[in-house]
Amino acid sequence: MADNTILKLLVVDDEDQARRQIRKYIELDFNAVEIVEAANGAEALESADRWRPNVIVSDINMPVMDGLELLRRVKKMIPKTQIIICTGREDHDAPIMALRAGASDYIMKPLNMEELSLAILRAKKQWETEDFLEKNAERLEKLVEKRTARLSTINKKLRAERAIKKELESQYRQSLKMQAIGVLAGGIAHDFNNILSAIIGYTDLTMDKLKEGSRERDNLGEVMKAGRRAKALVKQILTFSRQDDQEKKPVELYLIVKETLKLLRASVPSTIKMKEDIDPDSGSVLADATQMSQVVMNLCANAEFAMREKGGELIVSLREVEVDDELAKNNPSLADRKLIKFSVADKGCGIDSATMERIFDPFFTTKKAGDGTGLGLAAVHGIVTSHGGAITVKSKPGAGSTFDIYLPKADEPAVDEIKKIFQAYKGNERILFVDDERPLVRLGMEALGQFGYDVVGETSSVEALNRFRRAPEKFDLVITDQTMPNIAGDELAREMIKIRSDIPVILCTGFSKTITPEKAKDIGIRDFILKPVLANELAVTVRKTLDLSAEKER
Amino acid sequence: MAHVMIIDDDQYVRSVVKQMLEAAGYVVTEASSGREGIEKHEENPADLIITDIIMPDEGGLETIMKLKRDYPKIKIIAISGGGRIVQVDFLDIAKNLGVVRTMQKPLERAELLEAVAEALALPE
Repeated sequence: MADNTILKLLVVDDEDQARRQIRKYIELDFNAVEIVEAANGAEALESADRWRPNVIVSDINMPVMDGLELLRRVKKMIPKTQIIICTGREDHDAPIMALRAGASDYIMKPLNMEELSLAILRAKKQWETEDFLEKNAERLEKLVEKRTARLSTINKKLRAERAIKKELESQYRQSLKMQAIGVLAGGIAHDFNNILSAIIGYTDLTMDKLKEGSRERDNLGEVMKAGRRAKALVKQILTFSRQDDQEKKPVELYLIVKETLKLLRASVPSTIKMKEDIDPDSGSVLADATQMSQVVMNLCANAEFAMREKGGELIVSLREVEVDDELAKNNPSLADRKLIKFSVADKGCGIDSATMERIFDPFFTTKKAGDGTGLGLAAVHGIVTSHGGAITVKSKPGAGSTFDIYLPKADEPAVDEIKKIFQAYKGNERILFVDDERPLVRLGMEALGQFGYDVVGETSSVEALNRFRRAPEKFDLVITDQTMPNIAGDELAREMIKIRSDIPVILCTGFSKTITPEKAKDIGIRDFILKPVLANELAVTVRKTLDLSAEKER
Repeated sequence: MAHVMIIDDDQYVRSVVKQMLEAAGYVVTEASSGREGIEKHEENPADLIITDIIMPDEGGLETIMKLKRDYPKIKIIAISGGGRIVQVDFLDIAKNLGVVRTMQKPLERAELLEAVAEALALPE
């Protein structure tokens, strides 16, 4: 959609002071703005005809030609121009007259600048939609006309044209739907995040007052978890409205795919076999790395979900492809471009035709409450299209599904962020990783293994202590969870430091009062990581701790 | 102990922030609007002001501008739960107005305490 268009604003008022005030505020509020002023309707009409503003803010009472007359004439001349009328409070009929004549909004005087600014933003948005509609309609008409003429003799090809039209229309409908969701999301996120502030905040404060391990505290822990899930959900909904201001850089897609698969593997049950066919030379795309990772994550999670009961094969592939006719026909913008194709195939339950119709609709889900939000595939669709790509689905009920994503290949080579991070934080030291939850140990081992470390995992703190006691010199660093049965993390650290005073220990903990930074320092713990632990954060902390302790020795 | 003011039109947000900061030993003043915040700051200046962005009457951006104009050295943290309008990140605008830090709601305690401590530790 035509976004990041500059705001072309025509300000019409017979008072210089009023115009200046609006100009000053709006110039500060908008990044890209051009403002032209006019002292009355006639002057404004001439400017509008010549300069084609997208939004006009006009006073109602002016000499020569008043605001309502200006409104009527501009709407006749350039219907998509959005006009906001400023009326006095005593003038009761004016708002109705203005709206009837086609004004997009009205504002009471004295002007509240923030309100005006929001009204202008809304109007600009509306202008963009109408502009898009107009252009798309033209494009569609031209396309069909041209092709119909060329193919009119052949009936079969005519049918194909109808299919294109339908496809374009449905693409357009989809884009409108996404936009509507975006507007809605922006609106509710603000209130929702305030509500969540209260839920998460009060819970956190109350948990402090309760004994660790008590039923009450555990229950509040669940409230906290639910609150954080809601927080993540709001964030996900917001990605709809932020799809345009993402930062796109050339990235090598295969690195993102590999990285994401590594994280996923820890949570995929053993009944599902993961197969990879990834070409490391497939090239780079201009993309937001986080969002790409989200795409991989969502598609794989769906595939896993489809096979959860019966098991099966999950096949992920990535390679460079040429555009084929079918694809080019449905996605004119991809014609003549080199593409990277990313596919996720499963042997799961498949998708029936009724579901297929609505598969990319936001909030449409076949999963039961708690299993899915109905945002996954809608987000994938939004991300892919905002990257100029296309997504297709092939499926047979009972035989599985394949999602293919096509992204245009970038011309510039990738500035390799992932490689850069890797270079800065890699190491080959030996690490003992202790957590009573096996998946977390696996995740930690995977994450640190990627950076080159030699990691030994333990799920029992007693075993971990025995292992350390047998060969304290075998490890350069210990990472331990705090909350574990038998020996808690701080106690484990204390024992290990007794055995070997220079062993650096990092403690992973939720936000807890039982172990304060001061107390940890007394024990000799070098650093903290707050749970949930992120792979990159872990690598950074590990490298920092190891470097500091090496410095100390010198 | 340092004096922190929280400006937010949502009383629950104010109260939660206040309790979190008080538990950490700060003295906290509440204000429910930008105007009230500025008045209270005039009477009893805060070392740090945390302000919401989207509020009725006088919005956070306007409040930040006024505070920065009258008290150039004042440290401000801007918080927001996302805009009511698509594609405008008010926190980005706040950054340009000279706040020391911006944070997304919902605020988590650890994050908040860290941000407040860091902001207060900054040189004047």
